[in-house]
Amino acid sequence: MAESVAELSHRVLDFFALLREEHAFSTGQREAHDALRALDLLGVAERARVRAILRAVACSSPEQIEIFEDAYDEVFLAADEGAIQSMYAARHTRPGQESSPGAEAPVEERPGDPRDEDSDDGSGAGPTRERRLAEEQNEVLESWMALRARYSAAAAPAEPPTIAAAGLDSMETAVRKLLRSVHLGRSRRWTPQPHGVRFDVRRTLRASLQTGGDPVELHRLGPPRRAPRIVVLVDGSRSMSEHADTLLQFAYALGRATRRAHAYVFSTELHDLTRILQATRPGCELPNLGESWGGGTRIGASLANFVREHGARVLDDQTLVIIASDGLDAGDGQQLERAMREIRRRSAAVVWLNPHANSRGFTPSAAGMRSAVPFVDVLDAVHDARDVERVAERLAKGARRTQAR
Amino acid sequence: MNLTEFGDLPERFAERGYVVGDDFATALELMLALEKPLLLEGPAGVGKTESAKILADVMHTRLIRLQCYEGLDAASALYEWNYPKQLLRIRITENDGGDTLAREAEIFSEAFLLKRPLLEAITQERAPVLLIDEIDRADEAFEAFLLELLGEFQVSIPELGTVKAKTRPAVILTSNRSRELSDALRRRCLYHWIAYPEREREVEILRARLPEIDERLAEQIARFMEFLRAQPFEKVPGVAESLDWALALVRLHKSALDERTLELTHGCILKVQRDWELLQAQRLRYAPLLAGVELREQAPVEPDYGIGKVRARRG
Repeated sequence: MAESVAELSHRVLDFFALLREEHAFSTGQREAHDALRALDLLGVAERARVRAILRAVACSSPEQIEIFEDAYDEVFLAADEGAIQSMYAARHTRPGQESSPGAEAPVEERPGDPRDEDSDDGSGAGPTRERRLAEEQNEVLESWMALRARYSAAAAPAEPPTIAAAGLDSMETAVRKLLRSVHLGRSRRWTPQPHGVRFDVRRTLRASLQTGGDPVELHRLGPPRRAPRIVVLVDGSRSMSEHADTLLQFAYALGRATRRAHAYVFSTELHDLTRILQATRPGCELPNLGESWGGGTRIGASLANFVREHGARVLDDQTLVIIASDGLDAGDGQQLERAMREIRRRSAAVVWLNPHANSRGFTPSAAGMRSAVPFVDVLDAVHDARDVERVAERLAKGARRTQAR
Repeated sequence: MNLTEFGDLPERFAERGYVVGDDFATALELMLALEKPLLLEGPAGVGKTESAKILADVMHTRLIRLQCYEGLDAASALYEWNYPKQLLRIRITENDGGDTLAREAEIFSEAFLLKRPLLEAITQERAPVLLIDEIDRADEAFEAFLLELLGEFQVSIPELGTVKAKTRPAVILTSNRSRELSDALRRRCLYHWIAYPEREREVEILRARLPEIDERLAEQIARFMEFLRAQPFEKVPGVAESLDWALALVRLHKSALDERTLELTHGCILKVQRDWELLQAQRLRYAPLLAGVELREQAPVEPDYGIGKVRARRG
């Protein structure tokens, strides 16, 4: 490498800060120290080796590796020597502040700019016939695009929603109730329990020292209850956009209540939201997730993708899967049926939250709902925390019925 | 740890029939240089466990293995008291008249301790390779319990105090990602993801492990495995299955794949009946592979409510 070791050290430190600040990596002082020590020990002669060293130290999951590769290319392979500094400075500039010395000035409006024509100066000069025609055409196009966006599988992505801050406390209470309502049997671990089924030799022996070696006080062990794992799959398509804030609040509250919660959003693509929700505060907007938000809906393809990419990690007999979607599917119904069968087979229960489920005259007749219903244990609506509590009660009743058998 | 002591790692691994890529070799070297645990993640059957065995062989040291499972606790992983021996000692000394504290100190001393893999690993004179296999199968509570060992290379035994490592073992943790590991554990480890090998690398692996294999057969197997891994199977075959299959074909004196051979030996690669049925339904698609013809990728066609055919965006 052409640059000096000191320069490389600075670049590595800046790069680690960038990963930490921009991508929520755990690249703190210890990791930076490890990286510099590793570069010192293993050498910096080969670019590929430097990359491998930094990757091994900075990353801790395959998702992070993907981000790392892009960020590394952007930073270390950029022709501009000051790439990191300028990028870092640009990203950390507050609104209204000058972004960087070389930043472009806002485009000045030209006197003859057609955008000025709308500013009515009272002169009576209205739009020309051609312009009116063009505007009408635009309106038609816009309404067509809106319709397409609502029902098509290939709609344009929209702005990501925020995690609703209002009512978070009651949502957290409801979520805790939901977690308590899921009964999945006992773990294989053994913990001290007064009425446990196994004899605790160690504690009994220690206690027996007080009674001359006679085990008068018996201690017991028992298996604790299994903590459920919850997977929430939120439909981020445009037809669900008005419910997105509440559903995100629900997923966020779950993530705060248990470490065993995973959240995903899908429309035409599937995106893992778990870590993003951990790093986002209520009331804040989520980062842009491409086509995962506000697009059309391919529920079957998205769920199949979920099973393939994440199923092995998050689906098992301790998992409660919650799918929040209106079931308006523009994809392959058979694929949805296959994916639902697989999810049901590999989980403890499936809950489908459809915002319209409690509407008068609702029948699960949408293409997606028809394919999914045979594999759903609970079908309900969620608009706020009270609805979550109702779902919890239904799950608890279901569990009691199962235990009574 | 002196890296030069073990020579060129990729070369040493290759001598033992394990093909290691540059990135993985760097991760292993880092683990030894920084004396930090290495977390290996990847699908089942890509050689995570095997790499630890080979490393121990390369380092001419012991491999101490802890197989994780649900319910694994400190008594099985770290240490356990020898209860029969303790009871016996209590009975023998019950009329000696010593005070309780002294007797307690005696029966909870090192002489009554049974070492389990983790304690065994940090009390060796020569640093061993400690393999903590399938950590994702253990409970989260056990993960938390490991933090002290992985961060400080010491363990605290309430009755004895802190036991510090005499020599720092080379620690490899493996995970199939059957659940998410905690950030605290990840932060204490270096990380490397082992993916399924690319076709050329798989041929290299087959030839390294089975030098007697026909070159054409190795190429065919690698192509076929590439095809299989793109299918939505319940159990996607890994390198371990690929090696099993290759060995079976070599033992059957096959020099090329054909439909009949696939039918007879599919149990080596597909472990779920539904996957086999799914594969049979795709006979037309994989037939060219058996004839040695490379497949051309077909663009998926998806409906779009009459707006037109839309191609799926490929990630």
